[in-house]
Amino acid sequence: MEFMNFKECYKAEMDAVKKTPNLTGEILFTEEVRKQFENCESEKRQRAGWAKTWRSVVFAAVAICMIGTVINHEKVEGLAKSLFGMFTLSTDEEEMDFGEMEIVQMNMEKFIADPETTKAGGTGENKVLSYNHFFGSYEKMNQVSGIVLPCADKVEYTDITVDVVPEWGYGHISAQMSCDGASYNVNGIYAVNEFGEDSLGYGDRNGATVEKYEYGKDKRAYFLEAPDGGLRVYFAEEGILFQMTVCNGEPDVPEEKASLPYGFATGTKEQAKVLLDLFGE
Amino acid sequence: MSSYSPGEIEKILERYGDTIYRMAYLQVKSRNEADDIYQEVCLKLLRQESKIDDDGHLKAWLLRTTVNCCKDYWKSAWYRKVTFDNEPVMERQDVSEENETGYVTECMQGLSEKYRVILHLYYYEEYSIKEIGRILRLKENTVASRLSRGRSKLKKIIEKGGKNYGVYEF
Repeated sequence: MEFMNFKECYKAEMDAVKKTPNLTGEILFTEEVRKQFENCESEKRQRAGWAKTWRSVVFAAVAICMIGTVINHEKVEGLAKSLFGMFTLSTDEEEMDFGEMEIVQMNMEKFIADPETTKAGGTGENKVLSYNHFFGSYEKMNQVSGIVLPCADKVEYTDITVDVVPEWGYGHISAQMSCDGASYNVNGIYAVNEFGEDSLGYGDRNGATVEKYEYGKDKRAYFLEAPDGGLRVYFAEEGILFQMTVCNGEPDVPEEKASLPYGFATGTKEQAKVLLDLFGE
Repeated sequence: MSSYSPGEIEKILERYGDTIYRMAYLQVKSRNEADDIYQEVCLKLLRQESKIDDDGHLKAWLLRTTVNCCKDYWKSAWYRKVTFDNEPVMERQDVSEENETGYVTECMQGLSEKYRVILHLYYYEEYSIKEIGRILRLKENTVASRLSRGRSKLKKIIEKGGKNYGVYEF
């Protein structure tokens, strides 16, 4: 079977998409557009006087802010230190933590060297490479990356994507998690050996906490509901902070609808609690 | 003069015209609408108060402006009037005679906008997660999460289309 690279295929197809020939600069500057251009220039000149005044006001405000920042610097530094190595979740209403981060012992060399791992990165001097790999099964993922997922002997993991940016010291994972006939879409974030930041986590500005659920010894999960009814639960296991989509009372909706915008899930909140209890054992 | 002259704009369009157009076409899925978005971006460049000296920043600005113009287009009264539900573009594409892209691009166009843009910037423009975050003004976590989720969804779309996902390497 011919092995096709998605990126190459997509690039080849998109390279063929070119702008309509008559959309060049010459056609852009039609009489109508020239008139608009002149109007713009006139408006700009009018605004220039105001701009000078505003710049003075903004300069004064910035100076005041800078003085305030210097005064608060020590306080901020102290706060950052106290957060070192924490998994966090923030919403508009509150800030939660999931205890200290465990560094995931990922087999980075093997993961990067695997022929099916692809790399992508930015352009220019500040190019940062990220490595990613899609796995069909947990066994293959574990064998290549060394990453361990919670209760893998009792829970089925499929469609696993592992991303890692070694330079930044953290990675992401996504998978479909199934247990007792219920399925959940999960995303996870984790730190690797070289991680050098103070905290790592999710910010869910649209979610409001509906329940804090305690499971196992000193373990806690937070169920968050979005205004549109989407329900997610956040918890940390095996050094990974998970964001798991939970079905919010409509288990029979078609997959196309259920998968938007938070991923496909058939497991309800009560079933998710049973799963969490399993992780807590 | 601090803003761009027509000659400078022509040079910019010569260099980045296709970049703008591809992003617009990927989003609106029609050549006619992509032409409109392209011209709208050109006008926004014309109205720019000051020049962007750095080439990388200019390209990023053009891409962000294109994405925003597409969003404005979706919000426009005209668009709401000619479409019937939340997924109208695919329906319109089905009846369109201008479908000239390849299979992978069609599958990309089947994704929702928030995933499509990120996948395009990552795979085609080859920006890093950090750079995409800066361009779209999103947190890196959000970009990485959408990238990951977008890939999963794209895989499902490709599978539904009857092609074997296994032959594509991401």
